Amino acid sequence: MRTASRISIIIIFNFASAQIPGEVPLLNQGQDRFRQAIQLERIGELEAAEGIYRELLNANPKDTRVFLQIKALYRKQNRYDDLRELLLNRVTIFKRDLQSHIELGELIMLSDERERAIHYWKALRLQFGETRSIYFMLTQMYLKHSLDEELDQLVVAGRDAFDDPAFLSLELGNIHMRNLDYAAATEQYIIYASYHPEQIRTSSIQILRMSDRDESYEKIEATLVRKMAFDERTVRSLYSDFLFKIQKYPEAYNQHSALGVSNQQDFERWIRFAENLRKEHRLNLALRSYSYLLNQTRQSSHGLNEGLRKRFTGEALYGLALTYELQITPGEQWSPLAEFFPGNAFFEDHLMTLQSVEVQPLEETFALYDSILISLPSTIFPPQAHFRMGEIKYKITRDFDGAISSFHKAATSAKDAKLKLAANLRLADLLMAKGDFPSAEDHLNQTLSVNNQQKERHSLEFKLCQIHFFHGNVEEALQLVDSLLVSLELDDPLFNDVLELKGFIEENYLRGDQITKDAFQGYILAERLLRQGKRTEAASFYRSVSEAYPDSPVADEAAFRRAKLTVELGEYDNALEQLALIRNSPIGDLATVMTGEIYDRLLHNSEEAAIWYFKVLEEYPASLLTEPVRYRLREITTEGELN
Amino acid sequence: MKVSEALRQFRLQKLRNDLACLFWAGTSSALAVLLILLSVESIFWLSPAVRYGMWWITLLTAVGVVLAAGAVVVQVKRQRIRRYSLEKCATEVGAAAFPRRDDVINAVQLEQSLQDDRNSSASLTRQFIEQISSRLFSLSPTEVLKNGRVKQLRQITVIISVLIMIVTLSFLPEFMASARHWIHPGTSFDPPHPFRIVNLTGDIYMMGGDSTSFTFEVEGEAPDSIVLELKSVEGETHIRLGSNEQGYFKYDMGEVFQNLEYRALVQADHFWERWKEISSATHSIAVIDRPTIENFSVTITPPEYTGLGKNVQEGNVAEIRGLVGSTVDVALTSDNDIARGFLNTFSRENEEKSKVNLDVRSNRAEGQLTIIDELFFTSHIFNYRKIGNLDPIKYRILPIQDAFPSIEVLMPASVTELGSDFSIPVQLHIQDDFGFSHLQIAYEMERPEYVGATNRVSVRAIPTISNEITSQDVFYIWDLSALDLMPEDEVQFHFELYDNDQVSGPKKSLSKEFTARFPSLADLFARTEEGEEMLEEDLSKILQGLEEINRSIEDTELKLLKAESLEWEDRQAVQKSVDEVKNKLEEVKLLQDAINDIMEQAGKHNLFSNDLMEKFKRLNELLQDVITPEMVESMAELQDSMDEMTADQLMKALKDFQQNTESMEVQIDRFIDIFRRIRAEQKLDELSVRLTNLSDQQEELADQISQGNVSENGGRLLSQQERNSEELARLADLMEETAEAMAPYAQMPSGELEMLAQSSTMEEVSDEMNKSERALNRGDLSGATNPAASAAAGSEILEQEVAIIAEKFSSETAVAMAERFEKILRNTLFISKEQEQLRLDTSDLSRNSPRLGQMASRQQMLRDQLSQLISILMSLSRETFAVTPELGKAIGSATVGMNESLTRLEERRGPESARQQGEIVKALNEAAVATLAAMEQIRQSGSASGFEQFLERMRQMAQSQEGINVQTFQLALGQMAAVSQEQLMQRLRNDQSQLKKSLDELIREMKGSGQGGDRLDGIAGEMEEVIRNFERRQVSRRTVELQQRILTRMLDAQKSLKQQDMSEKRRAITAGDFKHEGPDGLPSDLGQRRNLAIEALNRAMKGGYPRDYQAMIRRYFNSLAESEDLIDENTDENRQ
Repeated sequence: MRTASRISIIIIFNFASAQIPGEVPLLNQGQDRFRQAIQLERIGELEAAEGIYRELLNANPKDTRVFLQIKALYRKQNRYDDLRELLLNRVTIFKRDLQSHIELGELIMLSDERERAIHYWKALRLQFGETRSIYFMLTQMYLKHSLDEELDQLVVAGRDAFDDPAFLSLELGNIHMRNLDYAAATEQYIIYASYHPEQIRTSSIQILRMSDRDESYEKIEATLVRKMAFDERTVRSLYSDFLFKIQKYPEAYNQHSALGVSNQQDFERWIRFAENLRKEHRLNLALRSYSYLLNQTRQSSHGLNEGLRKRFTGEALYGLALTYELQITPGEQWSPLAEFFPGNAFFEDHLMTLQSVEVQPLEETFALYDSILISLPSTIFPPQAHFRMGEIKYKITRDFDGAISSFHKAATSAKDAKLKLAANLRLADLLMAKGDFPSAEDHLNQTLSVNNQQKERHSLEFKLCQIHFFHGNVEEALQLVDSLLVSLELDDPLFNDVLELKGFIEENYLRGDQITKDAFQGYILAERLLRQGKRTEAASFYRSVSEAYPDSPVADEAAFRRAKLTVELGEYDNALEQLALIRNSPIGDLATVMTGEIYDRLLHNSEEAAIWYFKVLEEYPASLLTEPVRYRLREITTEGELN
Repeated sequence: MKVSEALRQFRLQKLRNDLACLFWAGTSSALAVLLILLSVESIFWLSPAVRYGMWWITLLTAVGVVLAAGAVVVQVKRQRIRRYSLEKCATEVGAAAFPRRDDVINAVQLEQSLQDDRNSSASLTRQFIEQISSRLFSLSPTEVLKNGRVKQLRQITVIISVLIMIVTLSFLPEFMASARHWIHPGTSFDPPHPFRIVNLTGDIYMMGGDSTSFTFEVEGEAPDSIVLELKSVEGETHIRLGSNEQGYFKYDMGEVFQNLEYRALVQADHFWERWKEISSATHSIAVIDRPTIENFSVTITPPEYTGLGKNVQEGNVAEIRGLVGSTVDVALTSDNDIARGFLNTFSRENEEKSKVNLDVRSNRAEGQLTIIDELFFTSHIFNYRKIGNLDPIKYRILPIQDAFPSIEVLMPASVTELGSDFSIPVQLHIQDDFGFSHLQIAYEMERPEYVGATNRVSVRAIPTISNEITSQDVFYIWDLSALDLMPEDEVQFHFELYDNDQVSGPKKSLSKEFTARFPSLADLFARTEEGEEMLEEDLSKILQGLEEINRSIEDTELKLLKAESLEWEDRQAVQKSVDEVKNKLEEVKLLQDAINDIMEQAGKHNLFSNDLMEKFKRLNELLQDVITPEMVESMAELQDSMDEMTADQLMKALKDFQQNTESMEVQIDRFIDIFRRIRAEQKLDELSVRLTNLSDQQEELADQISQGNVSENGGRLLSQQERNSEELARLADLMEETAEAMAPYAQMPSGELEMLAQSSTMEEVSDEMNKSERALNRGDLSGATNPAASAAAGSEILEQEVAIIAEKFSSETAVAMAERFEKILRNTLFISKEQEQLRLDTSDLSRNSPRLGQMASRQQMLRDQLSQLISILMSLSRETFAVTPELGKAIGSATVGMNESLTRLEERRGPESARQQGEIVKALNEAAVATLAAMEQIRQSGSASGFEQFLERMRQMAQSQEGINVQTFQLALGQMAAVSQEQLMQRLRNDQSQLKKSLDELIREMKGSGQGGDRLDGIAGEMEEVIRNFERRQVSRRTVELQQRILTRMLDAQKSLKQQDMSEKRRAITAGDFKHEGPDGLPSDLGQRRNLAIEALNRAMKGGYPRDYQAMIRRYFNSLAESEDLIDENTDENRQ
């Protein structure tokens, strides 16, 4: 029978389909009534929408989708009687629809019968008490209607019923947090973490979120200390996270020390901790942590096998080296707002100025990488060490040949594809830095010929495009750019860089006349020199472009780049003069911001800086830099007031 | 001497006694039975069977008695019957004759014991036996055994006999008769009847189907009713009849078709009556059969032109309907063989009869009639005995007239203004019951009086109708370009529709008269502008109104802040505001129609460029966006629950409402801004078009003057020159106006235009025109030749100058706009990269990193920057349509993503936030791509080359496709050698593949530019299929069709981009003008017959589908309408 009816349906369907030419739109024939009702509701035709919902619900009383929609409609219109009827019907059909049961109670509450509602909800708890859901739902309801006493009773009853001392602790913690009762919230989170150690991250996040408010520190800390005896390991772990977050790094270190090292998890915890310290530039503490770890690996096996011991030793050594590496060049204290193609990998300047290099950490770093190469030859760390050493040689010491050797070793020995790719790309950078563009091109073509990974090929093609560009083959570079734009995914990190480059080339080269093209070639030459670390020469070329081709679209960019280099050379007044020349250009906002920043960050003349910053706000309201400038302005104004 | 022997006498005696008793008892019983039988018979007149049966019973009883008697004798002898045993006799004799009653029995027993030697004292025994024996012998058995009962029984018998004698004598006649009956048991004796029924009709002989009647008479005591019994082979029927006044019992039998027997009878009321029934004699009715028509059918065959099928109607429906000209075939079969037959026909009016002989074969007969007028007919058949059928049925033939065709003119309107293409789109809905033969336009051209041409009527056939489809929509573009119309010329026309009636001749319906006018260009532009000015004025009013509403709402909000509740008056004010906004919304909806009108006008007369038309289309879309669902919702909320709201809720609702009205204001503002910009472009367009027109006309005039004849054309040439001079003067004003309108958008071209208006060229042209005019006025053609030619050359220079200015304006504004988009692109990429950096930084952070807060700040900063970008985009969108919905959508996604990311960061979920940030980067990059596309579009449209290039490429591709199609068609015909076929197929496959490649390229270029790249995808898909067919060597009809469709779609894509297509939506507006002038008596439900399908078609046609889809939709709905017509016809037939 069923088969017959199915066949009939298929036949009818086929027949019906045959009546309609395939390519003719169905003229709203398939218009879903439900969707129609939703649309009606959206445009305010509530009665019509309700009519359809009703019709649908009558046709299929079990249609939850329609039920929810009509429920929301009644709620929106405060039609409680209709809502009650609807819910009653619902619970008749779905006897265990707890939400509807509870909402029925809420309707009682809304009709000002508080006691009756509480009684009703209690009865529900008794009726459906075997499921935890009822407790969760009732918690929400009690919370919504501020029934604190009932909520406490509910929690107690729940914990008894399920013999779970942590039952509803997370929810209660969240409630207390919302009520700004930090101590109570912390206590609940501790309970939760203690009984659900695998969820300690959740508790930690909640405590950390709470600590976004300065006034919470004291109460959270006091509670953590007070509850230390409750579950020391858990509480110390939470406490250490808290201390780290509020930047009490040494105290956080102490908590970790107190937890000690006894097994693999502890080692991993320490590795993470040290790494986080390094990321936060707490280099001394990071060094201490890595050293502590190294000691631990040497002193005792702590139940680790040889493989794990080597891994932790390698990670500690590598981390140590990276930390020393960070010490070589003290990080910039501020990030400039006015940048040329900020964040574009294509125009990224890898080479660092040599004045600020610290020698001791440099030696330490090399020593550490050497020790990795010697002590852990058969692990994953030597290629990484080679790569890191190559980076230092390329970016800091500018030992291009040495760097090529290191990157070559990294590229050939690395099993990690990412590392191999990075090393190969760096090799191309180095060949460019050496001015050997044909070799760079050959190297990339060779790498491309053996690489089938799409993503990696994109990176290599991007680098190839860069080589063509800096080598002056703009047309070829543009071809590659176009091909990359077709094949790159929109969320690929290279996409926006490539798109920007395309715009840049089209604007300053493709659509221009010969003079524009000449100017652009000059600009490229300056960029190439920059890649080779020849900053003065580059500045000179930028100057010639801006002066020889003042009407070319790239002239202003060149002037800006020159000013930037002039700043790097410490000639601030010259830079200011150069910037003044392009303040009326399309990149006037950049020039003005940079002027302000020179006064602000380098000449430390806040008043003058403020003037320029205000100028940005007034004269370039459409510039995207206005927002960061406004922030900075607020900062220096506040600082001034404080001083 | 033995005792037993002595006892035998006694036993014999006893037997005699018993027999005597039996005799007497039997006699008396027999007499009694006899008496009873006689009595019964005399009363009941038993039937012979009963009597006979009684006889038999008596006989059998007698035999039985005899046999029983024999058996008893034997038994007695054997002493098996105790009554007659010796012991019993001994006992009875002993009791009757001996002193000791047991002596005899003892003697018997002793005698038996002697025989058995059991007695020891035999002598004594013998002595005793002797003694008894002698005693017994001495006794007389008669004496000893006296039979007293015999006497008794004899007396009884005597008595009974006496009694029987008495009774018999008393009823002697009856008993005599009764005795006779018993003596003749097999004979039936009729009892005496109280009356007699006499059949006065007797046997009847009649024709089958004739009617008859019976009459009975009763002699004697007549009963009140008698029963008529009719007996046929099927059974008996009884009918009670009453007597009439004359005492006869009559019955009208009606038509009789079979043999019957009949009699009348009366049945006895009581069982004891001697007669059971009194009946008349049975008589018969013998029927002689007539021929009857057993099957009768009529086949109506409509005339061939109707295309309708035959309709067979059974004989039980006496009304036969058919179209005039239909043939009616009558076929019948009879129960007998038919010798001859005919149809008797006659009309209602004169009853004049005529005969139509039937063709006879065996028991079948056939005849034919033709439906012309109303007619009646009867069928007559005769068998070989010349007996005819009885009462033939009268059939009525009702002719149905072929209806007049109807013509409904949906387009054009009563008065049409001809556009530059000199075409009139015609949309007709024509209907007829059976199809059409011809549709034509009858027209008459009316030129102005000064031309002096004679008017004459011409016709133009519309070839696109189907002769078979009974209800169809006819779309036809009537091209009037061949008529050489001049401005102010008029064409009067109407439509003539002929049906396909081949019987009475095609009938014609005429539509009402229409007029097509060819207006002047200046009028057209002026009218368009007028519409636009009104539109702008209306918009300004709406804007003003909205401002007032906002002020009113602000006041209300202030009051609410102070008072915490609203007075009734305030609520009323809010209500009023809501109502007013509602009205404004309605007004906005009406404005959409106004824009449609402008577009229609401009499209028809080719007043605007394609680009401008596209902009107007977008303007209309923009107007649609003014009415947002949020606005509607906020109004509904305020209206529905204002009374129930708390102060806070009311405040919130008011704020929402205000926000929405403000946003509406902004939208309208945007609309006005763009509208003004477009109007500036439009003015430039107008200037260009009119100058071109002037230049052409002046050139033509100059030619005509150089070749012309004063007597023939002098007046017209002068008039034309005057008009040209006037137009030049107007154009100078227009240049000033245009320059003013252009000024806000491009200063330089505006100035140049202003200069041109006052330039020497303008003056020279004007002077030359004046000279020419004066010369023409004098009738000096040769004198006018040079100035006219100079004026023509000057006009051309002006035209070129304006074209250059227009180009400059276009490129200047486009470049400026493109630069702004470039900035947006940079900004978008800036945010995208910053976001990407933030993603990198965030993904690396642990949950307890203090820097997560910084990341949130950075995210917040980026969100602010994005908001800034959005506001720039918003302001840009007020100036251009290039801010596409795709761009808006991408930016919207980025905003949402940033909010999400911020939330995640606040929740210290760094990795999740980083993932979200990846989505933001994606959205921003998408926005960047859309911006790039917008830039491209601006640059292309700015230089006017990109768009044209596209059209050109499409045109070339269409040409190539056409070439491939022709060759494929040849291939499909299969008239080539196999080898040639193979080669051609290969070549065509390559050509088609190449074309597909070109199309793909074009699609890629068009994607994102919003210029219809998407609609080309379908063509590419179909090309794919054609290529596959070539590859599989399956070139069929389907392939040819596919190719044809590809070509159509290509042309369509070209056309839809190039020119505003004939929009069904716009046509529908004029449908209200329809006034039907069909012949009287056309179906009044004409509108209903057009039915839902046609309405659905109209809706579908407004759906914005490409033309080839529209054609398909049209075909589909036509087929639907057709099937519905068929249903209607079927229904009619059923009714017949």
